[in-house]
Amino acid sequence: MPVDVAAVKEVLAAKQGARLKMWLEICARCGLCAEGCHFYQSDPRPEYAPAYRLKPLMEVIRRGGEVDEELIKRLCEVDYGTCTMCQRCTMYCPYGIGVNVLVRAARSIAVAAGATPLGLARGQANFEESGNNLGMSGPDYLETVEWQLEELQAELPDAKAPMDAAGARTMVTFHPRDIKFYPQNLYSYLKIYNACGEDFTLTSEGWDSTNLGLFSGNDAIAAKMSGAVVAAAERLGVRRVLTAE
Amino acid sequence: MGKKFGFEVLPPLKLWADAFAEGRLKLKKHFYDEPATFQDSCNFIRNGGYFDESRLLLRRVASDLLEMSPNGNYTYCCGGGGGHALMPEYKKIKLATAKAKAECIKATGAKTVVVACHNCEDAIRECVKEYGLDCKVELFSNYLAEAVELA
Repeated sequence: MPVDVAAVKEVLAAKQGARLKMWLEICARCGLCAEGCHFYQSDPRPEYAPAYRLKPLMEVIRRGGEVDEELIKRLCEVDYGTCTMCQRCTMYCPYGIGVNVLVRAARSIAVAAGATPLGLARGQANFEESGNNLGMSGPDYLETVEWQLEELQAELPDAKAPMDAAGARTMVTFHPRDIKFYPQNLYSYLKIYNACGEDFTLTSEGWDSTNLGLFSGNDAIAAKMSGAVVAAAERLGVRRVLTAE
Repeated sequence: MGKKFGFEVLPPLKLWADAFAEGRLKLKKHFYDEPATFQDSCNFIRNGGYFDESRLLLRRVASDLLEMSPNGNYTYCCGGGGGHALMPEYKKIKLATAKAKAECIKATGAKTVVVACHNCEDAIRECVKEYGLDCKVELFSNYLAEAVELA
């Protein structure tokens, strides 16, 4: 598959802010970050040292964005395959370099090159279609809430699951798996919020607060995903938004 | 996103801990006898800084809470962050590099690993299975919900 070099150059220009440039510049390859990384601690290969994850991005910059398939493939293997962006390494870096930010910038290059990992791309497509990363329909969501509320009412007769209650204090959001695969989780959340008398509401739109765009490196979709939750919170005029667990 | 918002964002465990501290959420003291440990998630602990809140709740419901070493901000990643839950092409690497985490869990002797994040949940389950650890994995919400004292 040919790489869209123009798109790569555009993202590269947008990503090369002062912070990114400084971090790439000051990394001394001292290797102290290796101690911070569970990849390296589990399997001490030099390519598992967090500093190594900067290499593909530096190569993209060196080439001025003129990337080929081979470089993108290597970038994906390093920056998607060997980093969970957990930020532990940053605590071991004498300069506090945000390796996760650099890894995400590298991932953004992959996205521009059309190399988003399939599973993440699928979740993002689901979101575009349905508003959640598992592609649940609105009616399925509402029915599951009703079902779990009925179950809960056997234990807590006065339990409620207010939907789109404007002016509530707290808006509760979910990971779609809480609804689609593990409705027991939904039961537990409703139980806790009812038991503690929280003034809460669920929302029929913008209820998935996961953000695959953050992982994939796709800024446009990341903004859309968080934007959906923001829109719901503003529509309902809540004071607090609870993220997915 | 270039603007100020009229609401604050918080993870569930912060609300639970506040509600417990305020006396609104009643939890049965030491409801669980089985030794338990907790996976400090990168989002809620390392980034969010809610270590104390997590321990307030855990110590209430678990009589035998065991800490991993390292724990808190220094804990090893579960292995499922950064989209790894949805990238099966890297699963072999993920399982091989879960070794550090598996050793930490094993050293605690815990029979339950409580997790406060869905990515942690899957990754720790896989880790436990891959390394033959004798413990179950429980989502924090479910772990607490069982221990709620209803009026």
